[in-house]
Amino acid sequence: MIKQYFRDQLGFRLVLASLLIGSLLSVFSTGIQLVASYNSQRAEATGVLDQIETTMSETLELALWTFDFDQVNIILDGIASNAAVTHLDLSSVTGHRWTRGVASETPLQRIYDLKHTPSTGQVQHLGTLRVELSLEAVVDRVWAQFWVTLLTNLVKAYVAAIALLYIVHRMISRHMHTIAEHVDGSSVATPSTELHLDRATRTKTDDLDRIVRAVTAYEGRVRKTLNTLQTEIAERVKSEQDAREALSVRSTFIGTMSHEVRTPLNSILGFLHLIETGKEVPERQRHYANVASRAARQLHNQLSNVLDMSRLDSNAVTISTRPTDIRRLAAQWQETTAAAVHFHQKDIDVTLDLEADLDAEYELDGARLTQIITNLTDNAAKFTTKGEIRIGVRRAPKQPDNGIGTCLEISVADTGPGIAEEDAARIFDRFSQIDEGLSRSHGGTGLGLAISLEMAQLMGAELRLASDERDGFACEFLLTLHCNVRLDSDHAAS
Amino acid sequence: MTRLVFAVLFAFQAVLAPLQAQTLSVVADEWPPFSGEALPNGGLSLDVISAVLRRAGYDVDTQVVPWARVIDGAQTGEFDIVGSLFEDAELQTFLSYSDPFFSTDVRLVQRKGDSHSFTTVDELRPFSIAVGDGFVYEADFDRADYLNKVVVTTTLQGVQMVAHGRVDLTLDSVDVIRHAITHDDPALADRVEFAPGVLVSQTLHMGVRHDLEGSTQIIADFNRVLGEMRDDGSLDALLAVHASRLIPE
Repeated sequence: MIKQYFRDQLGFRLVLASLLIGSLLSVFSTGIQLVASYNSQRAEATGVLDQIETTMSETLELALWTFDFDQVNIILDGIASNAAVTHLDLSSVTGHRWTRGVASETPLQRIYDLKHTPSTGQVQHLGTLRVELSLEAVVDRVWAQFWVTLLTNLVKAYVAAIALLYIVHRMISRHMHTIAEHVDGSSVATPSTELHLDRATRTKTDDLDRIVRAVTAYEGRVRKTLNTLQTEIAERVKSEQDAREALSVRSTFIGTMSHEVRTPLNSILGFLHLIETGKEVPERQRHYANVASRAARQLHNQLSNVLDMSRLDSNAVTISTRPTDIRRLAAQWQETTAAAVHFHQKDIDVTLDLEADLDAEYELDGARLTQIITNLTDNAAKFTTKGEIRIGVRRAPKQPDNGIGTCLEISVADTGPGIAEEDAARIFDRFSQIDEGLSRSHGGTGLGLAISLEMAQLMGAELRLASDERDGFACEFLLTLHCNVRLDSDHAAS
Repeated sequence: MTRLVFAVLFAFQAVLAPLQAQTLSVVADEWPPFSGEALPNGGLSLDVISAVLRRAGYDVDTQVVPWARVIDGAQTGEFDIVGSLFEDAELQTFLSYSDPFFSTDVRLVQRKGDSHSFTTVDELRPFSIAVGDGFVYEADFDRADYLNKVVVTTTLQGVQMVAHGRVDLTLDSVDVIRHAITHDDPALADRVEFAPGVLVSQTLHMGVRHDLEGSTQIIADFNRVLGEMRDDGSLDALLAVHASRLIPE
């Protein structure tokens, strides 16, 4: 039981603090008591000198005068019996001398002039008595008193501390332990038992009662909140599962539909192309076929975008790299862009800016890269009315730290209307069109940039909008792509 | 049977009791050379009294106690006999005196060179005189309350006071004074001297308290044996033991 009290660290620290304070106060109070005691005993000791003068000097004078040396000895022995008296020296004018004790250097001494005063006649000098006192006995007593008082006070402090430890344990610590065990053992899954402290019921509540009420109430709130969260989690899991299923169904549907639509659409485009290029087709029907062909091609592009987005959502798009001649690829992009400009019947220059010291071939997925660049150049062709579209391929300013591979920066810049700063943040969102009017006039689903971004991320590349205008171009997209270099020797060996 | 044994023992005790010698407690104060704890056989008085009483067939137990206790013990029955007594009417109210067994002069002591002279007690009126507390000197002197008497405890104190000029005179038996000077403070011999004349010649007696059973018989036995010892010379032989203490003038 006692060990249990001392294992109570809170109570033990409280008791130690109490003990420390009690001990200090004990020493302090003992010191005060002993200073007072010392002063009192010193006054009492020095009072002996007055006492000798008032009670003994007359008797001593009479004994000396009558030569009653037995009486003198009795009186001196009586004085010397006082513990404070260390030395007596009585010298009479008749040449007699008595001493008691040992003379010492003490400031506490008094010399008595002993004389006889007869009823008639002159006062007769009888001798002198020197009495010396020592406070050594007083100091010894005070020290003894100090240790007794100190030990008594310390014992009291220790007993009080142990009693305090017991009281603290009984009244506080064991209940706190019960509360801690209850909280530790409580679980959301299994309802805990009611928190109950082993203490008498009181009419007035105290802090422990309030803690119990607070813990109980908190448990209730936590349990309720957790139930709510569990319900919400279950609902969200179900919703997520439903959404995944719906997305899968949608992707399957879109894929199926795109395939089912593109197949006849390709047939339509083929026949329209035959009509357009037929020699015997009247001009009017040729014009109709041309209009229908453009509409069908636009529909084909839209379907391709929807299909790509669907494939991206279902993680069906894969990146496969192979040695690619970037110069030739860039030339294709220029041609495709020029065709698009021609398609839109605009007077726009399409230029290619190739860095001179590019390597011959890079390990990259040319088809996916072309898809991204084509999306960018199509947009440029759509929204630029005059001026220039420039395709740039260069080494990126920042190359890999480890020196492995090369970072290419591919840019598509145009002199179109540009993109407002407040729109820059959402141009890569799906189905996002900055200018609804332009969108309607040029068509498009708003998926091109979103597909390009996701495709670039899939390749480990970064696609972004340049933050400032350069060389008079209002809009410039930058694609930074890390890829390995295909060395010429590799190429030769292969 | 048990009762018979006790009866025989009681009768035996009753028969033997009167045959046992009576033990007398003899007491005197410290008054050398007449009586004193350190003196041979307790001093002259106790030695003579003991010898006489033992020869008379008494057992004797001697003690030396302060004078005040001597008087108190004799009145209360603590002691049977008091030794070393001068003639004194007041003491004789409760003590029966024996015949004297020694005589001594009581003289006054003065500082050497002083010339005090007197023929009557009344002529001592101008002087301060140290006297022993309760001591008996001479009837007229003891009654003279008008004298400037300074009470001391011992004869030596009186002599010292005279020597140092604190009193003019003191007095006692010349044997007592000489013994005190010789044995306690020889330096006093150069400072004091006996004043001219003898105040009184005193005799030493033994006193038996009146209420002591057989006191008259004890006195009678003592006087009878004392006479016998004086006649056969044994008293002188006894006194000779203490002769060294009796210093001649």
